[in-house]
Amino acid sequence: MIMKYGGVYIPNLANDGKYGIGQYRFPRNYELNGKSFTIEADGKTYDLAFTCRERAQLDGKACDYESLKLEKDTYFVRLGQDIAVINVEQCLATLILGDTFVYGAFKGPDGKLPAARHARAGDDMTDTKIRWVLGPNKYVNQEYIGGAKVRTAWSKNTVMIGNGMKSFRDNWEAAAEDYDDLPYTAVKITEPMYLVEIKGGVREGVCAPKGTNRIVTLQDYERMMLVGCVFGEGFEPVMITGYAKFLD
Amino acid sequence: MNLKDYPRRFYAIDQFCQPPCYELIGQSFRFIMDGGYDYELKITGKETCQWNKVGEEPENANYDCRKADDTTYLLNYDLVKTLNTPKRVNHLYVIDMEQRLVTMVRCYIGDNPKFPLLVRSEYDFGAIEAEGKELPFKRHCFTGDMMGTTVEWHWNTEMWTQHFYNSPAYYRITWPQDSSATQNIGGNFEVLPASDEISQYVKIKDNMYLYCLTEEMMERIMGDKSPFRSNNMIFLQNYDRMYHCGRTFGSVTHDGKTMPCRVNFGSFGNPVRLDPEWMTAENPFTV
Repeated sequence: MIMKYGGVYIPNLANDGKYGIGQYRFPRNYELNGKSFTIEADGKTYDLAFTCRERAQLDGKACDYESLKLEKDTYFVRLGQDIAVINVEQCLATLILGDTFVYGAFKGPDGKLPAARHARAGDDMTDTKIRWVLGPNKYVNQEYIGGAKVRTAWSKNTVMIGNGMKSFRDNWEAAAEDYDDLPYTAVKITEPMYLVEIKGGVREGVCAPKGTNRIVTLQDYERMMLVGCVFGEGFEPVMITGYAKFLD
Repeated sequence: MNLKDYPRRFYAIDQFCQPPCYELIGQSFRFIMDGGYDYELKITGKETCQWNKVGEEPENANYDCRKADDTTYLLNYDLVKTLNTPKRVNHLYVIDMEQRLVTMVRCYIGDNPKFPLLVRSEYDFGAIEAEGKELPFKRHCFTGDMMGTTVEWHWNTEMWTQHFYNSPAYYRITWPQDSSATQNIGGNFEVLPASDEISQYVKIKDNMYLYCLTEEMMERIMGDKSPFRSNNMIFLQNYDRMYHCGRTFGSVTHDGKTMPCRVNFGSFGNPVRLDPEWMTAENPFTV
């Protein structure tokens, strides 16, 4: 036994993390290294090439990239400040370039371009109330209400277990009261996986970085996990991963 | 639509499992093992590989691979010639590309004449051969680093369990009443004198450990009264990120039939305070 009387220090490897909302970020995925895609959308083509583990080119313009895999054939990729969601089974790719959503396709192993495209999700997500847990005691509540708005509330910043709580879950019921109704855009990638962009800031004292103005996530409602990226002013983009708890 | 109502299937420990990793496709490895027999592994496809002891003919297998950090892979396969027999064998590797080290765990079912479903594990440490480079001297190793760790693991949206790594050879598990573990797995543990189970702990690198448990006490005491028959669960735990990935290798009895239990799993963790009286209770299985 390792518990002793007399003030012996017993180390505990479990910790509340040092990566903030990026704590649970999956290992980076390097499967796209060396691959290139000619993505066709609305009569235009976009040449996307992953030249090494960290650098890519979009239409000849170099950028850094990070890729997280959520499902066996689906990659969420941050390209600088832009986003690509690539599904290699469907041969479909959705890009978010600035404020523009591009719904494209690329030729498969058979040399054919699929006819289908990813598309807006409509009301699919309305009435969904969910908490995405991004790290020990770091979460964001999202309630998808009508009118393409999502009621968003982040957990407060840093409540340490040392203050007497038995478990981090003790603090979950003290839900963040400060919520904001923010505009969102959702794209259906597969059934039931959605690419969701939410624009807007965060309040003082929450776990999201000060200056946050956009969060883009790929949400899998089968596996109840998400991957994504938080963007804002004054900090480098933060790649995130989380698991879900329904709030209703 | 409230996506809570989406008709997802029932999940146990596999809901929060990371997707499979295909990064190693096309790569070949020669593992120089301290046990005296070296191994070669060639990843030929998304699910296919070839393996052999050096000097023997390659054998095909279907593998699974996940990552615990950017450069560390957990890969395992069952030996094809042992499938559908009472003596199944599983090979598992931790391929550590950062340090050029490998840990191999060979698991065997069917060795014990009194308990034919018990899983026996062999641990072998080694290094990854690289052309033009000397083999590293260091190795992954058995460790006591994890002693004292209490951690809550979230396996799916409704099930979380709490582990206490209290001994170099055992661990202890519990769960709060509001976890679905109470209904899903609690029944078996109520019959056992304690939840302690046989464990081994291997250090891969700082804040990363290969944690191996075999539900041997459950099999010895409960036998076919429990659906899970000596499940061997191997976790690659990343305490820098507070998550793990892993696999089961064992058997499950359902409606009188015993079948292989092979599940890939993953979970997210957070620290937890546990009842000191429970933590310091004696292990009834040891002197």
